[in-house]
Amino acid sequence: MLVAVFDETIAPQGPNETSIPDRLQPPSWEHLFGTDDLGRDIFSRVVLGTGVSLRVGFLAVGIALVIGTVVGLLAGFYGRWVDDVLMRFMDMLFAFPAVLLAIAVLAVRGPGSGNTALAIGVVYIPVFARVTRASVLGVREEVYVRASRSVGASDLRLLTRHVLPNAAPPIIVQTSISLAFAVLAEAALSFLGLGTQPPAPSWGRMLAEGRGFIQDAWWLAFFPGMAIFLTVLCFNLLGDGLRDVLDPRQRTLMAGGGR
Amino acid sequence: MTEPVLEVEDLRVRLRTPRGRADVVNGLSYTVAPGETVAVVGESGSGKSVSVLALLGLLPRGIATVTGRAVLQGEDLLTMKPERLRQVRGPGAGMVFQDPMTSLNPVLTIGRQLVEGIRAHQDVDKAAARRRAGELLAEVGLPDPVGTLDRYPHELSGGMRQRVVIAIALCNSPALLIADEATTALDVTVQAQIIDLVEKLQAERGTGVVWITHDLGVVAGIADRVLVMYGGRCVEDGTVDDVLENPRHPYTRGLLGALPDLAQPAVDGVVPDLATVPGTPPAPTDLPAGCVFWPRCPVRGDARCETEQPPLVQITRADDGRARLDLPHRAATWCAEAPGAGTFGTESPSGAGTFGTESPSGAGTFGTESPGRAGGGAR
Amino acid sequence: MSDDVLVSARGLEVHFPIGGSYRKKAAGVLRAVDGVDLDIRRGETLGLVGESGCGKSTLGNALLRLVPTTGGTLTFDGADLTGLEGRRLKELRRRAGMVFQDPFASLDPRRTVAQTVGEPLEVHGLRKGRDKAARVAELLELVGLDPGVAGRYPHEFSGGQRQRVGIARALAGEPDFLVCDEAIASLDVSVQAQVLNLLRRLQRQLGLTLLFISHDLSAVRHISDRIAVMYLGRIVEIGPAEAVGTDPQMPYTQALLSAVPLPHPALERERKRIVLSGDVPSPAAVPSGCRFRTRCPHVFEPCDDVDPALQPVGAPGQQAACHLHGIVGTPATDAPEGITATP
Repeated sequence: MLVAVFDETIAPQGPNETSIPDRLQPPSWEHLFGTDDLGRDIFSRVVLGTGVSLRVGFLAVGIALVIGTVVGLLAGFYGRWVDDVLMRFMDMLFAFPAVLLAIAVLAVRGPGSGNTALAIGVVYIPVFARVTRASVLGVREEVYVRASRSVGASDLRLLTRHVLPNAAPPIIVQTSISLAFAVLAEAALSFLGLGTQPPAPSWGRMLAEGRGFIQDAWWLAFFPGMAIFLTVLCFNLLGDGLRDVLDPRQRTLMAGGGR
Repeated sequence: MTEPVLEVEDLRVRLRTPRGRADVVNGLSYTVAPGETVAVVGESGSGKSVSVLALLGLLPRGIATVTGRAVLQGEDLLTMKPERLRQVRGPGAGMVFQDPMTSLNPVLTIGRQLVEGIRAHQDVDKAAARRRAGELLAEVGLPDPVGTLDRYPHELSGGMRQRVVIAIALCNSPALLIADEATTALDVTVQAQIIDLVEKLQAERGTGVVWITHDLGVVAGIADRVLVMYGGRCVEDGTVDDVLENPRHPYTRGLLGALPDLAQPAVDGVVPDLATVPGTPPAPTDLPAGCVFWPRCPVRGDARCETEQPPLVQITRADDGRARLDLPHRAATWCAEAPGAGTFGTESPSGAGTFGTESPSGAGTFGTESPGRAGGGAR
Repeated sequence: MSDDVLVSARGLEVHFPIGGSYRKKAAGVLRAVDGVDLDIRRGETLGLVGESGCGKSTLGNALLRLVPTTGGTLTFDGADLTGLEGRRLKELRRRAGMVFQDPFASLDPRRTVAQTVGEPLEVHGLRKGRDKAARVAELLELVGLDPGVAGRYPHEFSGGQRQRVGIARALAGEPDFLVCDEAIASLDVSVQAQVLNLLRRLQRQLGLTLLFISHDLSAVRHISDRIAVMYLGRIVEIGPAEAVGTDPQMPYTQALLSAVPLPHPALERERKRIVLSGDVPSPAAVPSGCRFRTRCPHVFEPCDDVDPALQPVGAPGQQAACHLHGIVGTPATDAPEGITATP
């Protein structure tokens, strides 16, 4: 995350600065991660790619989270026909192979990082809707929801103050996992040439470009791959941590044992 | 006197918990004679359930440390090899738990579970075991014993299920039956049926029974002797009449006074407020020094209360003609000799004044004294 | 007389479809509440006892419109409750509170005590800002809690303390009517007494009308002015607590009373218990005629055919639904002539 913010400062070279004499250099002190076939510094490109990949990831998950959670909340809380209509629609989305769906969206809207995010987001909506709905179904029956209704709380209040906060932990975990997958998906789409367009640095694109040189210059594909791996790992750990922090029970324990 | 079925001596259970060491049972001793029912009474967290789980080796190893002696028919359960303990669990001691739904396997028929229980300890073929199972179900009073063999637990009502659990516990004719809150989840009319059943079976077979409950009413009906637990210790024991009609420990008195009593007539058409024991029981991770009850005790009539642990001593005076030396009435308190001093507070009708409340700081305030209503002791 | 009735039900029914959904026709009907006539007088404590599955909780929820009724009428302070919607339903929610059984489940674990107790104040726009905090402190004090605990979360409290928080929440809207649904069932004996005393004090202090629902006859007898006994969705006996508690007129109440264990060994030994045979029939298959006839030790001829109605019997104000006191009730469709009697 820090890397994404300070990308311009950290990166020793411009991402598209080419230097034909320095092409395909192995990692060295001058080029930490080596250089690619056009002599571009891979370290710089990985660093700058962070921003691109994360932006797409966050945007995509943001779209899926908001729409999916709302759909899941309504379906889970009201049940009956609301549930049926919304969830059948989600099933339809879900039934499409993810990549196909993303390709379809991109085919309609044209490639580009913004549209990539939208495409990935659409693919993840049903995932969030399902996770939310399952969680809401459990919380809906809790006595404290009934108790709150008994003092006159409106449905909106029940949903926002009681149901959503208590249904949140699985959604948060899902968010972190999805962030990881969205980064991967962006890489995959870029790899296929549908995502981020050259010459903008994106991990997926770099992976795709490095593929041709894997025999002779492993670092071309290795470092973007590592970046993807580390990011995915971080998001997963972040999700677990976040879930614990948001639980008042854990919070008291951490604050020194409570009572 | 006949040889006791169970003899527990200085039983201690210590658990490792995330919050530190918990001394759940602290030196418990009692005996159960054949045909006798000993009731272990206490509130949640008093250690009453853990104390029997420990006897049968049902506590998780590595978390629980159990010390002391528990001799069942001449063999010490606590030093027994796990293999032997498993053999003893059927014919030596049967157990009935609170929730009959969770102690039965939901995917096996009643018959299958009974037959399994019988064949684990007796060398009989399946047909014979099934016949025996049918007989057992008839014995515990199920209306259609043979038909019930082929049914699943969820097809039976709570009372029926508890009867099945009792049948399983009794299928190897154990010398000892341990019932842990066995009727708590049941309705009173069904509870009455189950208690009748256990009493009948016990009379027929001479089984010793350890009955764990929080309900003093049930105790009065079923027990010969009572053991009151608080903070992992036995604070009072004796015959059921001694303990319930003439309680000497301030906690026992408080407990009895806190009970709404159907047999107590209204005074001038008004039922008086209940006496309350302020505060909540101590956490086993954080037991008070001295008498376990003193932070909640309204008497605190002795300088030693806060510092020195009172021993469990016989309190029946020698000149009391009713005193029975073989069944002593004992209490662990410095204040047993102050009858009437154990007055518990009641909330005053106006709501003004101090009353027994649980204050979150842990220390309770004490109630307005209402003379003449010494919780339980004055009856 | 009818003036001081706060809550009134006539022929109240709550039936649930079994195994059906909004798309599929139900396989049967569960008669949780099946024709209840009940008047709760202003300022009284009415105890409602019965065994599990008798419909007492459903009735309590139905009186507050927390479960939909399927038949009969329901009035609160003279106003019809059936079909109440929107703002007027919300006003009912303010005027009638509920205390739930399990103090561990009835408080939102993610909200502080202040948020929980203050919710009714927010919902009904009663207090804001500092006023609200002051009112929350006042409510906590009223139920015997230190106002300093307002910022804490439910898991930091014991069962008894949580139940006090639940009571404070129910009282926040200054209700006239409080339903306590098994409010002491999951508490330890010594803590039960604290909560019972608290409820009694609050009832007197605030002039509340209290419906105390419990399976524990001793506790109900202790706290109530009148007791209603429920069996299979119907009230089978009602009357002054003293009368019902000492001289019940309906065989079911008699059995229930005799099954309550008393903490007196000597009394227990000489007491004769009426042990009922069998279990309560399923509310999906209510027996014809008198619904208690399958377990009743006194069953006789008209019980199969005539559904007994409540009739005055015993002490003043006491009513029981039993043919032993004269055959009064609704005959089954093919009941023989002659047994039919008019109320």
